[in-house]
Formats: sequence, C-alpha cells, structure tokens
Amino acid sequence: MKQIKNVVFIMCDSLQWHYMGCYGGKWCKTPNFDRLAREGVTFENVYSEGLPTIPVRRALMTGRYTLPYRGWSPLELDDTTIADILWRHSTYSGLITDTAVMHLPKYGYQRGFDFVYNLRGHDDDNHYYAEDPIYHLKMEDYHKPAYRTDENGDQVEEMWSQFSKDEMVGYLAQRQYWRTDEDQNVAHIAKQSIRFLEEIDRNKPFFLWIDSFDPHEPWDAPSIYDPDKKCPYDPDYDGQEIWNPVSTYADNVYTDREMEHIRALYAEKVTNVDKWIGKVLDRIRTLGLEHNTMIVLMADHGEPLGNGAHGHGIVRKCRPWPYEELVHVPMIVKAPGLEAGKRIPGLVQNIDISPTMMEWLQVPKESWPDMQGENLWPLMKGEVDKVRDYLITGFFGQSWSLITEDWSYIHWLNPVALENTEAGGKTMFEVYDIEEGEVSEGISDSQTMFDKIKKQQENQWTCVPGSLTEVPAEDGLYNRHSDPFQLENVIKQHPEKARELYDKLREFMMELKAESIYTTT
Amino acid sequence: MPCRPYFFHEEPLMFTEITDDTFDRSVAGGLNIVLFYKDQCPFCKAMKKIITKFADRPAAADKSIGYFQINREGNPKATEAMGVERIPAVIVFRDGEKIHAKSGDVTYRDLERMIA
Repeated sequence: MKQIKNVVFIMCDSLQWHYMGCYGGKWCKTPNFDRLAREGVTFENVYSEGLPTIPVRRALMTGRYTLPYRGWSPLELDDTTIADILWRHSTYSGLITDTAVMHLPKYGYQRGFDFVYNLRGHDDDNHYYAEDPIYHLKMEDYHKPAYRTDENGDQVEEMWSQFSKDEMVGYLAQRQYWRTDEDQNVAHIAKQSIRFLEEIDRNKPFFLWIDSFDPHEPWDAPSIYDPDKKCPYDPDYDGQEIWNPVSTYADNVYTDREMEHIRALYAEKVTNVDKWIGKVLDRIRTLGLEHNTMIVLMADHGEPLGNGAHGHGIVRKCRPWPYEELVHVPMIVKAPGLEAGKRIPGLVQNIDISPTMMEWLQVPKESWPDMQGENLWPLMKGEVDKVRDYLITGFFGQSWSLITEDWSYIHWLNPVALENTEAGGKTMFEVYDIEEGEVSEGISDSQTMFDKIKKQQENQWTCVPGSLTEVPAEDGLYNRHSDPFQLENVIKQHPEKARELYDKLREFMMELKAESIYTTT
Repeated sequence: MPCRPYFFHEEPLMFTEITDDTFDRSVAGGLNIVLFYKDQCPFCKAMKKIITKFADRPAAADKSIGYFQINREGNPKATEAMGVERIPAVIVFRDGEKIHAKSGDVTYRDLERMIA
C-alpha cells in the first residue's frame, strides 16, 4: 500500500509578492509567510498567465493555459479539473473559500470537490447583506465620492464612484458587527480549514484548497473597526478611512496622502492574512501532517495601488493591464525532501504547480494528459536549473505579454479586431476611448456611454465594477533588470528586440491555440 | 500530452520544400499535407512546429503522410490554384484531390479530423 500523501493548497487573492518579508518587503510584516519560506522553497519569478481571478482559478484547477482560449467564463465539460481527476484516485478533495466569483451561479468552479465551504458576502457576493439594516456605520465616513460635470453643467457622481458605494452597502451591513481581527473573513476561512484538517480521515489522502479572498479589497483592516487601534503602518494619519476606493485613476480622486493610507490599510490586511494563515500552518504541524503533506502558498495576482510602481496610475484592477505589480505572484512550496530555505529564481508559470501537485499526490500521469504546466519537482530538487526560457501573461482578448529573464513585452490587442477575435471564446466588451471626454463611435453623449458601460458590466471580465477596457496606444518593451516594474517603455530604443519578442509571443500563442481541448470556440 | 519545456531552441522540421513546378506531382498519390507559408511570419513558424508535433501523434503516426511546405512568395500559381488568401494555410490532399483546407488557427483536433 503506497504512502498517504496530502496537499494543502493556500490561495491568497491579491497578495502582493513584494509586500512580503520573504520577498524583500521591508515594512509590511508577514512573519508566518517568512517562516514558511525558511522551511520551504521560495519561487522568485512566478507569473500568472491569464488574469484576473476566474482565469487563474481555471488555470490552476486544470493545469492549462487560459490566455489563448478562454477569459472570464464558466468552467466547461471539456475542462478537467484536479477535483475531477482526484475522484478516480481515492483522494478526498475539499474547498474552503470566501472567493465569491468561485460561487457565481452556473460557473461551476466548485464542481467535483467532495467538501465545499462557502463564506458569503465578499466581493461580488456583497449583495448577500445589502438588504440588512445598517445601524452602526455611515457610508460617508469611508467613501470619498468622485464627481464630473455633465453636458448640462451639473455635478453628477462618477459611475465608478457610485459603483464603489453600491458595493459598500452590503459590506457596511455585514461589518457593522465586526470588532477585532477575528471577525475578518480570513479568520473564518482559517478556522474552517483547521476544522477540516482536524476532522479529515487520514487513512486516505486529501487535497485541501483554501481560497482566502483576503487581502483583496475591501481593505477594511482590523483597525477600521477597533476604536482603540490605529493602522499600524500609518498611525499618524488623520484623514478619511477609505477602504473601498473608487476603481479608476488614483489622481482623479485621491491625494497622494490618501493613497499612501490606502496602501497602509492594504498592508494591514496582508499582515492579518499572514496571522490567520499562520494558524493553519501551525495546525498542520501540530497535527503531525508535515511529514506527508505538501503545502503550497500562492496568490492569483497582485494589486494596482496608485502611481508609478504601485499601479501605473490606477487603483484596483480596473484596466486589463498586465504589469508587474499585478501579474508577478508569490509562491512558496514546503514538502518533505525539499531543501529548507531554497530560493528558485527561474521563470515559472502559475500552471506549473498543478502537475507538480498531481505528482506529489501519486496520481499517474495518464490521468492528467491535458495539463500543460511543467512539473517543478526536478527544479525544486535542484536536478535542473530552469524549466522555461520565457512565459506569458495577459488578459484574454485584450492584452498579451511575453516575459524572458531580461525583457518583458506587452502587446495590446487591436480593439477593433475584438469583434471577430481569432482567440475564440466570447467577446465580452466594447472599447471606449474616454480620454478628454471622447466617446466611441455611435454614442451620442457621455451619459449614454456610461449607461452602456453600466449595462456592459453584465459581461464580466473582472470582479471590479466600473472597469474599462481601455489600453495604451503603443506596445511596451521593458528591461527587467533596470526597470522591473515597467515604468520606462524602451520600444523605440530597441526595435529589433521588440520585434523579436512580439514575433515570439505570436508564435507561442499560435502553438498553444493548436492545443485547444474545447469542442466549441 | 507530455509536458515539454518552453525553450528558444528550434525543433527539427521534416517538411519537403515544393514549388509551383513540383506541386502537382508531390501531392498526386496518397495522403499529403501541404503548408502554405511565408518567411518572417511567426504564425507560419508556429504552424510548422504544430504539424511536426502532429506527425508524432497517434492519429498521424500510424498513417503514411507526406509533409510539404511551399513559400507563398515566389509560387503564385499554386497559391492561386488552391485559393490561398490568408496564411498559414494547411491543405490536405488524398490522391491529388484537395479534401480539406484551413487558414489561420488550426488545432490538433482539426488536423486529426482533416486526415481521418
């Protein structure tokens, strides 16, 4: 009888890699993540291939690229997930989550798991509490509205400002009863995860997927609800506590000081996630599970949080821009037999973890033939020093990017061509050029444009309301050594390199498209 | 399908280069796949790799298939005769008769159907 081997896969949505101490973060405290890094293997260059939240879930569940095939859309019968596979291999699968978009009706992302726990009310699920009376919190204490002047010269609230308020109604109703960090969503997820680990039958292998939506916005960190606490990362701030910022350009709404505080609140959420996930890691150890359990900690993406390297000017994922602060993700793996404290600089695509976990779980390779990720065991054991020369990232139908060790190249897909996209899948949006009040062809005034955009939100490509499919006019080439956060586009200075990478990107995307497993386009 | 590394090195290709002059006799007998391409086209480069990999897949490996490539530039007769507008274009022949054609994206499943 083969040895029992388990996996605990921990996803923390929107966890910025460079905020973490183990990745060189200097001010945001993450002692438990740092401890895991000292005990495990830390990957320094992991990139999610398709953004944002839902494509990443599909990618990791199937071990397949999504960028050539699918965007924000339901799982299909042609998709074969880890849960689907494990059913055949006597492995108990569990999903514990508050990631609302994994629970969207008819999306099916919870398909096949033996045990599922959903914590309601987060993100797209904020409507869950929206009908409840609000006694104890006031919207105006936390929401800074943004206005524009309409055609009649009247001041009206910006669409994305209204969207932020709409989100907050449910949050305020739910969170008016919060007092301490133990009330935060991640604490409930951690407690439920510990309960699962304590009660699971250890005579069979298990695969536990913990999907903590924290530290995704809203960034109402513990200090918001505790009158005796100040945000530990910005205790001297005396301005408005803005924890669900408007999803637009930072300079349109917020002062630099306000953005600084928003980032401090985000960091406080990160520290709270570290604390509660740390309790899960502790419990794995005290239950004696470390000797046969592979632990994976990773994020799906980072978070745009303002100007420059913080977010290229935007707040929240309201544009399909695959820049470093969004697409570079942390990943730490701990398992018996791996060298403690090892760091791996080689390029790794997020989907590589999927076949890696399947191998650990001793599932034969013929049971997962569709997976495209690279098995990372040889890399983790030091048998090879890399598995890739390049990788990809982007938003389906909107942006593609190729990343090598030295360069990154971002290609903005022609918005006109999106109506007849060769990428297959669904064209879920239209492009509006909103610079300097311009409106797209056929739209007579900006109110009609905004109404159309609001209606368009039914065709979702991100969980951030008010997002627009607005992209830069020119492709970007960036030197990863001198400009890792892609602030200086050097495409004009290096046209041959740009051409080489652009050609490589298109060649690779075509190769991947040939590997489509979908029976419908 | 087996995992394979994503590296920049070129994979060996097994196409026979044909021209306007040799086109008809090349596809005259048996099952043949012809790729219309042009130089400096990344999609064509990808298509060559795709067909090369396809040749090793079970659906193709147990068949006797001729693999040919023809540069659209410099071979206008065959290009026009086959009605090729967009490239890369993949055309399948059986005993000289064109039985399937596809331009642009082609999946491995498409290719399996085309030679079935």
